[in-house]
Amino acid sequence: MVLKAHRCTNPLEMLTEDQISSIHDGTLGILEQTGVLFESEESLRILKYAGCEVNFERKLAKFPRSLVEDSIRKCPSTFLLRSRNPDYTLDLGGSNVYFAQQPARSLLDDETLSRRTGTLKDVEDLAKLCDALPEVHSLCEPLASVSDKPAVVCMEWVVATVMRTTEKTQMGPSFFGCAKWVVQMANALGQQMLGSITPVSPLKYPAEQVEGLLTYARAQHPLAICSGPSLGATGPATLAGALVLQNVEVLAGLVLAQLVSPGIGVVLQTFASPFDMRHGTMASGAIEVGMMGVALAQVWRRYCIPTGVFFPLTDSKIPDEQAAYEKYLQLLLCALAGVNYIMPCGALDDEGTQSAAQLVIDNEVCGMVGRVLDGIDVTDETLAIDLIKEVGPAPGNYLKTRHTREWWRKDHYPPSISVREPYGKWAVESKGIVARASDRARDILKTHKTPRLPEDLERELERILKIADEAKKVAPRSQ
Amino acid sequence: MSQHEILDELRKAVVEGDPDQATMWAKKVIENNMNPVEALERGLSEGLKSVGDAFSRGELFLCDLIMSAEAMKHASVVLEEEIKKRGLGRRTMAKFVIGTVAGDIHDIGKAIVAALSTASGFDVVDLGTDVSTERFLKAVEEQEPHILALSALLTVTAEEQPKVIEALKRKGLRNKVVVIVGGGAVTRHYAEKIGADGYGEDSEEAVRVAKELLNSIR
Repeated sequence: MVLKAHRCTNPLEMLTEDQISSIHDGTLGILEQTGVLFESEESLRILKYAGCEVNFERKLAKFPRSLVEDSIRKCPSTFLLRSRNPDYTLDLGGSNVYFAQQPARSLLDDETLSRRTGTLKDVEDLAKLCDALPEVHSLCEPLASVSDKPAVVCMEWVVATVMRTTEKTQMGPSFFGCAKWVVQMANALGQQMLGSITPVSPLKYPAEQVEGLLTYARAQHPLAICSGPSLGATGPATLAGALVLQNVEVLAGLVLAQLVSPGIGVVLQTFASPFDMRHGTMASGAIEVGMMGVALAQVWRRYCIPTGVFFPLTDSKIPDEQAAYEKYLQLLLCALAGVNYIMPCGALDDEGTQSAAQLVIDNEVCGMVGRVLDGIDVTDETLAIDLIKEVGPAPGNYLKTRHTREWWRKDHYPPSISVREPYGKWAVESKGIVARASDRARDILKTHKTPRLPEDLERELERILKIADEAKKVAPRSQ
Repeated sequence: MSQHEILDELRKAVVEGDPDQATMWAKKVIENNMNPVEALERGLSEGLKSVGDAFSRGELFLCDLIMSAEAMKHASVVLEEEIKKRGLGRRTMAKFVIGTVAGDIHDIGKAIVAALSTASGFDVVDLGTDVSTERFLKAVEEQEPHILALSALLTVTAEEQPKVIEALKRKGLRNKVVVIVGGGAVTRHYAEKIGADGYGEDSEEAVRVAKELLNSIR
């Protein structure tokens, strides 16, 4: 199966030209006057050498306008994220739209609706589902922690498990100093990671994120730099203010990336959500999240830099109506806005849980949204003028024409789990969409064959994981 | 202006979450030679308590609560100083020491618990973020709090919480203080496993649990 991007040729916009200019000017002003904190002596030295005003004691770098604008120009407007199987390589940027998996902390049992900590076997299952589902174009670490590995090395093991299970591309995490080992594994397999870099709002790059940025960029793995302030808590309460803060944060990382590896591919990503003033949670299912996705895609498209969102998400704890309306409103907004890398697949409860059923449902909706992007094909053949004349008024019909047989398949998205059967047939099992999606997930896990890593590469992964365990002083495998 | 009116203004400044106004009215308390203990208890504390109550009823929000706590903190500095100077006694409130554990710089969740527990009548000492086990121990020794609250957002830093509990045991301080834990990476199950006395999934639960635990030992 060759993976094909959806294309958004006429992107939805939310800002005027003047508004974009105001956001851009405000951004450059903050970069120049306030600066950004980097918890990394090395990165501060690099920035100083390039002309930033650096205060080493406060770890603060202030960016001259010209440096920021030069760095933006150095970023490629499109680039490839290479899989070890060329069929799965992503061509990021331009009008291409891809859908990816969303990471989460734990796992939801779709039958009992209870939450539990996952294991590497669960990671394998989730990766296997993603491998089989055609609208999941790229993956992320499916679980951020697993019970069968200590937290400090769990990222390396989760990434390796995904690598073993699918040839699709995946994001590369930077937590707990894992980037170094992830890069070694990816290089051994001949594939690129999309290095995920997340500054802390407001205006700070923690040491491990800088290390991740430098590691991925120097090894020629492209980056997804993602800012995620919580509006009203770690960022301004206003959408416009939050847009500026996010732009400042991602551009500071982008400058550093272009300094250490000029021309490296960067996706700029947003993950902002309102701080819920009742519960102190991040309201990641809020509609404003989707709006900011549209607005920032517009700003970053102006920079000719590929765009991404670290959502759609929902605050619902189970696959239900709220999960659907929150995720899919955000999804549709961002897809219509031509965001290049969208992450709708699998997560519930913010980034709290992965649900296999939700993943299967998300795949289905991604197909529907992708169908919208693919648009309406208008040609002599699809207009069917001659056919309409030929069939004429009822009782003439189109069912027995060759045209229908050919185009019904081409022009319509075929759902795989949605209910379309008549009542009587449905009533035999009376299953709602979540149960149907669960059945489908079980079916995939039973029947889908994932590609196997050649033995020498498997041994190489084992070797790297062993060194990572030792380097992080983890006792030998003891499960 | 009557003393009564000054107390009203002080209370209003806290309710409106205005640190400058609160400080100004606290200074007026002293200029007018009023009782600073009464101003603290009937002005500031009552003001913040009414905000806490309105928050619990869903009428006010976290941004209101935090700003009110901030206003109280500013005005308290002025009043506490005067209380000390005059050598006055205060009604003792249950002491609540809180901090985010070593290696973790997440402040917001902890700040909310601190604000809400102040609003609930605790005498709160906020140690800040990235607090080492040694600093927690020192605070327990010196402040002798009733409650010690440990926050951790990350999976890795949650592992610092049992270290604090173990260190309390080694120093023979464990049964002198009620330990509650919370934060993004901490679950009820984890709290039980590491031997904490209580767990709060959010700020309201943390404060409720602290109160319940305190009542059960008193």
